[in-house]
Amino acid sequence: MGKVLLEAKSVSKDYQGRLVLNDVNLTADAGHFIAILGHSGSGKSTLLNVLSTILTPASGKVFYDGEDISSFSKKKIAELRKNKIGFVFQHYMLLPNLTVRENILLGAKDGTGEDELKELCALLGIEKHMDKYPYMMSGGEQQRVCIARAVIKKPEILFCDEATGALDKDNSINIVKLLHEVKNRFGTTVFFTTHNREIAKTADRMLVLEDGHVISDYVNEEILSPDMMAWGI
Amino acid sequence: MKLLYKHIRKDFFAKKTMVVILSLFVMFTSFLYFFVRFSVDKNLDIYRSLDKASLKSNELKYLTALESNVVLIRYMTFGMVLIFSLILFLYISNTMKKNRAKVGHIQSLGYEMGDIAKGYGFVTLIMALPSVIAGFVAGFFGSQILISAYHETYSVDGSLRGIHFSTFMKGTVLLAIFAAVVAYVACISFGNKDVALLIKNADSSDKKPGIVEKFIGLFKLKNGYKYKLTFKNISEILLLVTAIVTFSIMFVLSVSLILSSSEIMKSQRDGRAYAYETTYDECMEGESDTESEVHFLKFAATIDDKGKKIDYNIVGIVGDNKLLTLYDNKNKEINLSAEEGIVLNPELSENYGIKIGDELGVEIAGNVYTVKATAVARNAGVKTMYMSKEKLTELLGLNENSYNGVFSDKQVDGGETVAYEDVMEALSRDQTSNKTSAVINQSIGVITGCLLIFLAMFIGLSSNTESILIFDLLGYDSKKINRTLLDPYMVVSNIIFVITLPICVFAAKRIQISTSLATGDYMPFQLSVFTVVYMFVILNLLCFLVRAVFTLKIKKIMSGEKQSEYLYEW
Repeated sequence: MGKVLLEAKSVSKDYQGRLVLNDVNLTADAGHFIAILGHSGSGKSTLLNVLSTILTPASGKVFYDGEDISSFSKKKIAELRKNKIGFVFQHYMLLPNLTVRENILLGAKDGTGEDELKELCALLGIEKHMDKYPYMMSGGEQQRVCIARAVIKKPEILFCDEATGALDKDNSINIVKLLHEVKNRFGTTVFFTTHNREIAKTADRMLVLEDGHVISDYVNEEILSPDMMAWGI
Repeated sequence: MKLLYKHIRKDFFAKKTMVVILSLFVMFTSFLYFFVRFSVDKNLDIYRSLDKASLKSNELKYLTALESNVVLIRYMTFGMVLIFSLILFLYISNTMKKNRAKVGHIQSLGYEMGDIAKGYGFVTLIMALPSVIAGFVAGFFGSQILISAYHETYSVDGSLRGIHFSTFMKGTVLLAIFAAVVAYVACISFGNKDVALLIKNADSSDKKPGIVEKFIGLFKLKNGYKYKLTFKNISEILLLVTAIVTFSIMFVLSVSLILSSSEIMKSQRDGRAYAYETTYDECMEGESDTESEVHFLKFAATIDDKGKKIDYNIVGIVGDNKLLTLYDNKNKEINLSAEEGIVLNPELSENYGIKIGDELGVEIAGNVYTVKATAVARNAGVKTMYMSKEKLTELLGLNENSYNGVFSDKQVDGGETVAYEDVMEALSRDQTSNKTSAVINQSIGVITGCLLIFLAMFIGLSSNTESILIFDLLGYDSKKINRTLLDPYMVVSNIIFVITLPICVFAAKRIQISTSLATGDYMPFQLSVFTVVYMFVILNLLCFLVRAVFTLKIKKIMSGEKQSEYLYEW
């Protein structure tokens, strides 16, 4: 068992009286690919948001590297996001008036060199698009830029919220493969929400959420290669 | 951070219409300030350094005018800066609200709200600096108008053009920095919200139904949904109200100031059939009035209005003379012989609030007399009130035939005689300087008001872009879309105009009275139906102009078939 990077203790969250997360407890080891599986409205995105510091829980605590995040100042949380946490969103959320290069560097730590940028873009297959604007690219390419922006800082942890939700099968497989590559190459812990069981099967560990509860949490005995994913299940 | 600033700068300056209007607003504010200060600062220094006792009467008047203009421009600049701050604040808050997903996303990358706010402050500074410099340059050249007006009015030579360094800093650097601070505060006041909610555009602080929806719901309108769709948030309505109120006040004030000069000139001609006015140092006694000569008594008087001293003149004259006839506000002849008390100058009733029936303490030649105000003469002489000569002589204990002045149609011997045409010419010159400054200031105010309305409506209509494109994708034709989503803005703008008009007229009147008191020049408040009609027409022309510009913008999106792209863009 590796070092515990993230821990949630009795985390609950409600929206206007509706309990979306109910007393969730979990720990996440460094370097794992963890899939959060569930139907729409099961609370998987809310859990991801709470774990990733972008949503305050109604009760309970989240510990990052043993430190209680709720005790962090806004500045410290911003520093945590800037240096250690990366996000990949379903709708990419690239800034339309910046080029690909600029969008990626927006997520970089100060002093990131051109070599690092080139190496990462080559890994993600976007090295030819560096001077393009997001609207000039396909959805799959934009998502790869989004991953590059999240990974350029070499985060300890990467949160992907339905990162393949807007993509077709081939692009989805490529993105999942890339995320595994990122995990393997940089030792990044990856949280990945999805309602696709096949994608979840490629993860080291699978959390299944229903009505705000974690109803099952198990380590995959037989990890599925992304190339073997059967689509549409 | 550089890239964040680059994004904010590109985003801010991409909204060209807004940037142009905000820049013009800053430029006008700076221009107004420098236009007056360039003509005042150096001259005021010179005249203040001189011994007042050594100044001639025209120079004393000039000094007073310079000091009045400093006060005037201080109020004017304060008002302009206040309105600009409000507009900029609402605009930036609205931008933040509309771009909350982007704001949340940027925060998820590790940037703080303060970083975004600094970015907005920075781009506002970039926008404001060239504008204040342009205002400074325009003010430098524009000040010549005022300097010429001073020369014409007060016959002073060698007026200089120049400002203090502190004035330069206040009108340029300080103004630009202030704008940047307002933008910064507007961003910061957006608050620290949960980033996840911002990203999902699900800010829980946006209660549904909102204030506007609830208010519209109260009226149970048949097509109430149009208004609910169009007016989504209170800040847009506040912006529109501010714009219309500013425009209305400035317009009423501007027209009133322009008309007040001609009104004064007209009132000083009305009822006067004499060509000369002769005054004597001592009281004389003599023959009674003839058709070509009317004797009068004229004394300097000080009115005690609840402790406030007002320096005036009191004239005693017989009522049934042929050379001077006084009229009341209804244009009815005032028979002075029948008046028991004082006939007021309209300045006293309008600016000082003295009403018919008020008991006034009037000090004449060191003695205080209590006299009742019994009428107001709209054509009373400048700084002059009247009494029947019989009553005045009785009050002062003088002989009934006493007089120290004569109105006549031919020159009379002795005393000091002035032709009435010369009096009118001097009066015309007197109207020039302060009014030049005030009218130019107000005219710029009107232009600013128009720009504000354009800005407010454009922001409001722009916030409907999403709904318009959705309606288009749903297959609605453009006429139906315009009727549903654009026309309510026109209707509501007119409703706001009508509702706020009385308040604006009242405010404009108060401002004019304050200006009048500050400068010592009586400027009768003028309002006519035509003023309101002009305002109504200009407002609606502006509405249609904005609507046309906005419709073009939408057509561009539609003709490029970029609806889904636009809607998808966060």
